[in-house]
Amino acid sequence: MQQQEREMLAGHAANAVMGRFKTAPDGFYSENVRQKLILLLQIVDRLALQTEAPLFFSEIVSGYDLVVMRPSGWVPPTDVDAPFDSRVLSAVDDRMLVLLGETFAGVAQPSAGAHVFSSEDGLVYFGFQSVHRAATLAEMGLSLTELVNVTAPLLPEGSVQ
Amino acid sequence: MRLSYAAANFGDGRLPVTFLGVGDLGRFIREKGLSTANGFALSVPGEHVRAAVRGETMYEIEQRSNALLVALRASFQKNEDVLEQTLALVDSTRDPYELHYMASMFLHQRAVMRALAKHPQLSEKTQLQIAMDGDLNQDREILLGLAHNTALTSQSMRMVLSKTQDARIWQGVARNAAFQARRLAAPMEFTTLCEDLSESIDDGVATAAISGIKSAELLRGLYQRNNSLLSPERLEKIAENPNTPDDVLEKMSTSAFTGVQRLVGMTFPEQARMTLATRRQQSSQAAPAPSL
Repeated sequence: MQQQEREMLAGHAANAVMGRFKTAPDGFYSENVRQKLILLLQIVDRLALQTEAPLFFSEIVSGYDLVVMRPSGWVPPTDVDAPFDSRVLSAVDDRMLVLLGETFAGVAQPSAGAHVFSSEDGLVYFGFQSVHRAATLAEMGLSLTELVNVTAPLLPEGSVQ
Repeated sequence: MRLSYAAANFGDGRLPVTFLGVGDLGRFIREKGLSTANGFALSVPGEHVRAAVRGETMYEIEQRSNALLVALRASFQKNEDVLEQTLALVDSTRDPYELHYMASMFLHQRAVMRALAKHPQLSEKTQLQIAMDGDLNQDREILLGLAHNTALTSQSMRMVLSKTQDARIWQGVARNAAFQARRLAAPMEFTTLCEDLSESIDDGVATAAISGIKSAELLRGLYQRNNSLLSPERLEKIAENPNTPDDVLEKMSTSAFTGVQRLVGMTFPEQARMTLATRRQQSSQAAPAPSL
């Protein structure tokens, strides 16, 4: 996924989350949610570039799973990664991500199935409710194999950790 | 530009994604020629990704608690406000390290320690630290909070029990252990603890522990002992335990009440019949259909 696509998706999602508040929260909060989602997608993409197999993220946000797949013979673009920006990471707790999951899973998704996003660089993203995981993965023709010890590759260079 | 408008600039309506029902997903994947790498997908726990996104260092976590502690000590008039903020932080965090750090820093703030003791993300290290502290384990509310905390490990449960004789706390631990034993097929530590607690002289503790026992022989022995002792609650628990052997349940279901037993409203024969009926129904559903 390209950086501008990440920004667009994260902006839409942040708006959806903010729309659930009765009273508008601090603006800094919404901007931080957006930044966190962009970083989340950057990490997803970084992992997706490291393997040819489809990647399954269980509860990427609360109650919501994500699968990233690539077409056969896909060649990674040379410049897909934007520099990680860690300046705004510490201000928001991850309850916002939970809220995002609820927004996707509870409101935006009508039933069993998946949201599909085809990025311009060819990767395809499938987001779906965790409660429908078994049926959705079966329909996609996927079985899972555990990827352990993923913490290290998740941490981007120059991040705050 | 005000930051509050930043997010709004990026989206003005529906998410730019399409929704495909389950039936269309497979076709979409085939049409797009998406690789399934022999049908296997690598599974990544989302919590790891979220942890990386959270991007907080231990230093930042510690600084947050330190700032609250300094404010708490410095404030004379606004003490309640700072305490409220601290309790809100306990309530909002799900980071076991942050909880552990707070348990060390706010050791002398009972309200904070009481809230920490109940926290469902409390690590075993912190559970033991609280249970073993000579001052904290004299606080009944703290031990009660721990006793009912579903994050409690069996080792921590035993530690809590070793620090008090309070029947209510023991009953809390027994209920918690029984709940965990029923919920988890393994490990068996909770079941073993329930077996130990079922020998307690406290009726409430022994009764609560029966639900977590999985040994049919032990349940048979308990029935034989309690049947002559008039322990209605214990007999009820034995009757509803799915591990009680059939012969015991049959005996219970045909038990004739004595006048006293009827007087105290004992219903274990009905419960035993229900357990038996449920078991028979389950086994008949599991049995293969007879061939012609």
